[in-house]
Amino acid sequence: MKPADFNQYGARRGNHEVMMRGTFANIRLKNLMLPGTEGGITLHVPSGEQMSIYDASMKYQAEGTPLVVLAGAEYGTGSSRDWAAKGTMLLGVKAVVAKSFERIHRSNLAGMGVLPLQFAVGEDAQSLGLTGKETFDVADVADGLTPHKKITVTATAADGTKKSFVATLRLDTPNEVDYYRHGGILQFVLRQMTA
Amino acid sequence: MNDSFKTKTTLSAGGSAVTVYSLETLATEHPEVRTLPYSLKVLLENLLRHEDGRVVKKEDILALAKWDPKAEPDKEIAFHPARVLMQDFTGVPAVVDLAAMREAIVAMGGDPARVNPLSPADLVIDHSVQVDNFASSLAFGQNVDLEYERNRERYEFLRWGQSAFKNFRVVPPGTGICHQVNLEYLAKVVWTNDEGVAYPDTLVGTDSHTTMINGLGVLGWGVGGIEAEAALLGQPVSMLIPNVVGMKLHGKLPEGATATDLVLTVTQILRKKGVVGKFVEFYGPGLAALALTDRATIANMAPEYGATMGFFPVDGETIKYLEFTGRKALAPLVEAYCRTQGLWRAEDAPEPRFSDTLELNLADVVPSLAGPKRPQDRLALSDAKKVYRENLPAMLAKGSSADATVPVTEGRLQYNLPQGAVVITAITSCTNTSNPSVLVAAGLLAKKAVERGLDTKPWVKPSLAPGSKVVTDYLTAAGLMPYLEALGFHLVGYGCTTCIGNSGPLPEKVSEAVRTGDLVVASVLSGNRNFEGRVNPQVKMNFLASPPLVVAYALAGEMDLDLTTEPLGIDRNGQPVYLKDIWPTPQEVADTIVKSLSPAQYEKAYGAVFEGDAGWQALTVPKGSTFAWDAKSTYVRKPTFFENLGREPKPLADVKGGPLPRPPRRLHHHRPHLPRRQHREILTSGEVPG
Repeated sequence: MKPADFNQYGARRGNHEVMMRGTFANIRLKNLMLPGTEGGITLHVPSGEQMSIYDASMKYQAEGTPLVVLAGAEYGTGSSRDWAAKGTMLLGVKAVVAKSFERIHRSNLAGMGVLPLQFAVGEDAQSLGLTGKETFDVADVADGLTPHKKITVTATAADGTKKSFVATLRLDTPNEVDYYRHGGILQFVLRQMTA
Repeated sequence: MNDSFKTKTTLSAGGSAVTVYSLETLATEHPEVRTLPYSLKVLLENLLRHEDGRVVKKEDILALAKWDPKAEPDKEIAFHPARVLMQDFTGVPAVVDLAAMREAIVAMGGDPARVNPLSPADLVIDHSVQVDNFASSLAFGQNVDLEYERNRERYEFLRWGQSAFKNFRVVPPGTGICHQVNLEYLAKVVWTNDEGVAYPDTLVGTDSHTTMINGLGVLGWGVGGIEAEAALLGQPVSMLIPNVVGMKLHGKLPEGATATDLVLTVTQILRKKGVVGKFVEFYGPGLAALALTDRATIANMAPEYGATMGFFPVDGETIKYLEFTGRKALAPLVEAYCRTQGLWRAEDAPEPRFSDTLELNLADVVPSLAGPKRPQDRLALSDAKKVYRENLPAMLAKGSSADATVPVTEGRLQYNLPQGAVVITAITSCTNTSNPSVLVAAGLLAKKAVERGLDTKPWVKPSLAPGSKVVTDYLTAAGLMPYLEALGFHLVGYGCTTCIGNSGPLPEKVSEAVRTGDLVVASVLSGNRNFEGRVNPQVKMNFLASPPLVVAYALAGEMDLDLTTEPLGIDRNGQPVYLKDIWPTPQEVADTIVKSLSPAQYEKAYGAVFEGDAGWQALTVPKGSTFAWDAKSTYVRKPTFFENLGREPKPLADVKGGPLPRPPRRLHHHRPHLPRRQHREILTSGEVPG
């Protein structure tokens, strides 16, 4: 594409291919898996390579690896957020574990079928000694969900060491549980339309 | 639907009977309902009408009826907005999702025609026009042509959507700004549905300045795309019952102060107070002196003062405005409904109970600007030079100085571009272009300036981009357009333009001079936001100001000038001309409005609002109940959300670690631990995805 045809970024919001690449692309983003860096990059753990979050996501999806985001406080704060949750879902993220959520982004994650989980008070990735290089298992989902259910997450390090912690399910209403069960709000409405 | 409080009653209005969910009935048992803020009464009616025992429960209604103004909000309720308002940047993805849902339903063996917005949705195309051309009578047409050239794929897609979906209307490009079109045309204040139920007009919008409609007594605010999609599919918007801060207005704006000065003052006060996550409701004797369009200007900037809404209850002024803007037929029901429901603001009504209150005497408002970087940083016009000088050192490039200039030669014209030059002056934005008093003031000031022989400085890029066609109609009727054009303020488009950063490039020579001299240059615009980099990447200082001050700064051409004490220029007789010499009086403004504005202009502008210009009508409209995606399009693609979607949801499953034996690894990243406010600033600076 020629620069003259760039038009505006906002004009490409109807193209998920562009928007996925823009998710987590904030130039101020600090990924603690790569201390000292800023911007939308991460470590692809199996290869040890540093790459864009989009590229890493594509590799993980090709490898069949679902993804988890470990996050800090007020996760998802920002004003124009229509793609923040959609992009998260399309990048293959199945759950976000955060210290706390910005209210609307949390509900949008539920609306996109991404599991919002909150660390217990006083806990976070650092206090639990998580590095992000572990494998994560999220239990207690298959046997049914209710708002604010306690969910056990187990992190397995490369050497096989396991750490478990209990997080709170931040699906806050029965409606949100329905949305999640259907894979998202649009899927929920769609199935109602076919019923 | 349940009706636990037996509030369903009948109201006779304008010769017909409508069904009403009566707040008065609820108040007989719960008298505290009568002193709720008006904005919460609207929400309460919404709960009454949607009580189903599941999404909206009896206890939710009671919680709102027994609202404790001082309590920390913790009760979540489900709000069902009557309709959805979208602009094209955020609206296109919503329509893309609807289009993809149609295909998914076909794949599931269903009928695509069943996928439609369940609540009425209007999309106004206002975000795409850019100011590539200006200061010429050809500018508008050229900018529109470029807009179509760049956005043809998106517009063809929207035209398909317009014909394929029920309950979905598109206001074509070149018509106006969504909030102004909403204020002047779309909003009904009270709706009646097919079952004869009357209810307050409420909405969510995909643009943050949706709050402008609060000036008309309509409840609504901006939400993210997913909530908007949910709302247009009939799903509720989840919210906390908020605190409501009452802002008491009294007195009258003094001569020389405008509605823009007032909203910048309100923004500064409320930002300082801290109203994030709260409703603000205006009350007090000052409301009587505020024209509806002044209220809309104040409501517009709720995101800048941080509130969810800036609400003005319905009163006689609301009715007057509906009648003047071609919606006379709505007036009888609006008045009867609001009076019956206790939603009518009468002078003798008791003051609502608020979580907190503050006061503003309108007489204290002075001519103001806000900037150079934040809308809440208001400064008096008389301090503008001082504030410029205070801010300059930190922004200067290394080795540059406050008195640096760059010589520019453009043909036969030669000048020195100074540090602090004003290079963009834009009369723009729904905030102000919806308000005839400030636009007429700008026109009158231009007239007086031209009559004294003043001109715009050669490095200034002036533009006029109103939010509706009514504006150019009344400016033309008032005979003011030729004067604005004499100063370069030609029409460049009907849309958001400079206010959202679509200011277009600076003229080549100016751009080059700013670059080579690494100059700190400024814009003055009648917009609502001014974060660095938003207006134009080359412009470091951005000041928000009223349209007449925008014209004044085009004449001054620099920030290092005190417009209250130093002359704007020299007239033909060698006499200095000061701003006060050409500032129109309130009487001149009022007389011009009376002479030049009429309901007929609104009827004409909106009579065929969905038809569009020749360019819109000439677009190829794809046929069919599903959309034929172009795999090569860079603008609209079929999203993958609904691939392999079965009729039944899959059973819930735990999230399991990745494949072995290679140790599966996880993506892991943190949002920066910035203070909340700071982080917001980063993400709110434009309509960019967060």
